Amino acid sequence: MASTQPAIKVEDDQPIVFSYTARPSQPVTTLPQAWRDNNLELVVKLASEIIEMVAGAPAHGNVDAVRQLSAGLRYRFLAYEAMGLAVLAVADAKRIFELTARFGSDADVEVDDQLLPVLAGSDISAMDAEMTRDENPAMDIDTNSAPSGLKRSAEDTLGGTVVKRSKAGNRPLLRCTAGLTSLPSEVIITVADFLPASDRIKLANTCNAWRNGIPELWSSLEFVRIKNISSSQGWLRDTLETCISAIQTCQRRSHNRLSSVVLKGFVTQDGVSSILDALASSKVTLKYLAIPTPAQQHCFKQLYRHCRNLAGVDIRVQTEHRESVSTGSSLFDSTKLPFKLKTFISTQAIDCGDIARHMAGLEVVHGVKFSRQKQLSFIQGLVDAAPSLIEWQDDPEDKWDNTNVVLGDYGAGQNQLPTQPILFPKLRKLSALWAEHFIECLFPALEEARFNAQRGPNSLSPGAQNQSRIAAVVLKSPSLRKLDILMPSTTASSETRQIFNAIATLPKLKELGLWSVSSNMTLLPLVDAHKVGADNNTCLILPELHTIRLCTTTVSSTSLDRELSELLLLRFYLKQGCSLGEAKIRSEAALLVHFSSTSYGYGMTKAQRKKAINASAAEAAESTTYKGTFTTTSDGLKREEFDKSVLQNLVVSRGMSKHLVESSNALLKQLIGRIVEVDTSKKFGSHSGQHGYRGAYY
Amino acid sequence: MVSLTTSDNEQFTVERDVAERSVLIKQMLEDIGDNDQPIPLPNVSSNVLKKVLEYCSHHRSDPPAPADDAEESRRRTTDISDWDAKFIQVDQEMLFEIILAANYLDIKPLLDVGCKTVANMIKGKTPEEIRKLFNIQNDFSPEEEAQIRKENEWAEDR
Repeated sequence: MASTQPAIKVEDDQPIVFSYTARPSQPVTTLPQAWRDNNLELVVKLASEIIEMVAGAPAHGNVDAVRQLSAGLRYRFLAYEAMGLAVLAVADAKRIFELTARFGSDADVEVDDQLLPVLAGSDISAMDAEMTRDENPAMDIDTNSAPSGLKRSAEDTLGGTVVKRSKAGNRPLLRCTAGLTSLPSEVIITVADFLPASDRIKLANTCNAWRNGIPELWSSLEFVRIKNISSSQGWLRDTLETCISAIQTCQRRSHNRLSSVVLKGFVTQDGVSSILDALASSKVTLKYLAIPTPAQQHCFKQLYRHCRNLAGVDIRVQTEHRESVSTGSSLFDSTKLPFKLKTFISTQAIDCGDIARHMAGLEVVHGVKFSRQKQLSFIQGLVDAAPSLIEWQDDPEDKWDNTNVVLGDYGAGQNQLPTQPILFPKLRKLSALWAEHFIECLFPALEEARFNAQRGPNSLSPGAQNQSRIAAVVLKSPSLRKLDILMPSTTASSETRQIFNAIATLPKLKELGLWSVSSNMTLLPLVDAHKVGADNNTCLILPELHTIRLCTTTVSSTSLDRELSELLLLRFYLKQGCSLGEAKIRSEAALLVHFSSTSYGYGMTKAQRKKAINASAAEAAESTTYKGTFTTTSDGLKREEFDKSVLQNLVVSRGMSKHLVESSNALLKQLIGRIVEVDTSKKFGSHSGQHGYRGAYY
Repeated sequence: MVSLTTSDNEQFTVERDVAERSVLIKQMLEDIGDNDQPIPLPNVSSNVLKKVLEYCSHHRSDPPAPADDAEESRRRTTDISDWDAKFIQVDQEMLFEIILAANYLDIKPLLDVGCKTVANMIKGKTPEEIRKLFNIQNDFSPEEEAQIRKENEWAEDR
């Protein structure tokens, strides 16, 4: 162990300079390493060497050396303890205590950055946690006589840091705030696991202990170069070189344990080989790969098939010019995947290949080309994937499209479809062509969904042409919290009513988005659904609803303002505890007083209006549940004012809010917490302008 | 009912299902069997345990987290439920204390809430900003600083 001999240099008036780090090139077992390897005898030996070397430090008053001494004693104490040599352990513990008592925080090695070469990466805090957990008797020995000594330092390895004071002698140490650096490395790794790759690396570069002591912080890489590339040219040579050097840096610092590599841009088949080469040394640990090249088969042959832990693949390419990359090879061309694919990310612009045979075990799927969803084998693929599937999205950009499926697309007859409903026990997020056109499915866990009712009713079951496919799917998804539906274009259709009735049954719905490409969007069926039931009924449907989105391509003055007002008024009164009967009457009165006679209550005389409004107000004053606040208008009408919003958010397409708020005489402003306008035109994709177009992805 | 004793010798008595949100306590209870002895928690102080128990009783009837299920997709989200977000609105010191306690007591969902909160604080910040936020000493030598800059040039220009 000659090479581990610490070098001590003594100069006049100079503190002892103690260097314990061996040059990295030398194969040396360091103290922390020995401790990690659980080589207790070696720990004792190495620690004893240090202790001997700096035993005189306290006499010299050399603080740095005292720290070294303290560190050595700590390790030896831990080792003796683990070896069951309690007497020896206690002796060392006493020495540590004496040092702490005499030198205060200066001897408290846990907080000392200078000792990082000795302590870097050691799991000393975790070890201490173990020991304290075991109620170690040796640890307790001195605690009565030394409340600020050993016990404290043991505690501080778990929790806070010790405030550095001057050479404080016997003064009790202050326990300062627990800092981020005091967290054990496994917690730092947990934090990092919630961070995007670029932030992980920034975290690693904040201090020495993390940069050099936690290789896991370097296990993810995201490299983005999208500018100035077209899909024919791909990354230029210097971009490729920069990318490879980034890979090499992370690979080196993570000790060849890269786990997630996401490259964004475009790489041609010629360029991709060098990237795959660079990644090869992490092949055992790689779990997620996004290599933006159409040559996926090439990637598979050169790298993927050696990566037995690979679980996620993203095959998207990004260029400034929106050229679609239609030509390319698919990793699914191979007969069997030597890894368990759980996440697969693509887009409609890329043909992912024949995925159907490889769908068992899939959890997250994006952008499987519609044409691939129309193959007969795909039905079997879905049955295979159903138990594990968590998320399926056709187009992650949330655009509506016009693609249709008819039974003929599958080359199948009705009798070739599964006879039993397919159960998706884990599916939480869904936007899928197959869901809107498929056989019976059950989605007990589905929380977030987008459905396109424009594709028409149940095209795969000719017998059920009059039933809304979307309504059926909603009824099978009782856990929905967020739902967006592109409504059928003819609002009068029974399909619209079926869909609203299905929505009304959802007990957990928080956000409802209604999209329309026709000018006559309606909420009437939903208002009606609120009115179902006996007059003494007090229960509110959709009790958790807090956000409504109304998005259309054409903003026009329909009766939407009144329908929305009535909907919210009914909900308001029911929420105040009013019975349905009372809610209906008071909503009616509020509409009469807030809307002009031309837009609501048409056909009533002025006197009739006044009578109805004031009668309701008189009744409200008698109400046992909610009396409300009324003001009297200039023409003698008692108008109810609402000081509590009943809907937190209303999101509408650009241009809609002005109309809604003005025409309702600010009633909606009182009932809604926040009204937001968004640009939804891009979401409609091929629908924008006139509808009836065939989608681009047919 | 289960009794817990904190590092500052305060005793807490809670219902068993609340205490058993902690895997450590659950295992201890299984080990010692029916026994009214208070369980010592030498690494948790009373003000922290109070907070932790508040979390445990709010989540007492949560279904057990699926073991292997969707580890990856769980990781990807940093969403925190409304109640949890309010619960974790504490100063930095308490936040780290809660994280340490959750780690020690083995309460995975609470550890995740704490770590997500820290992650959200870190997101989008430069190393210098992270140091400032958490009062971390920059202990790199100028040479190391230069190397870090060189190593990460690629991350800067996109």
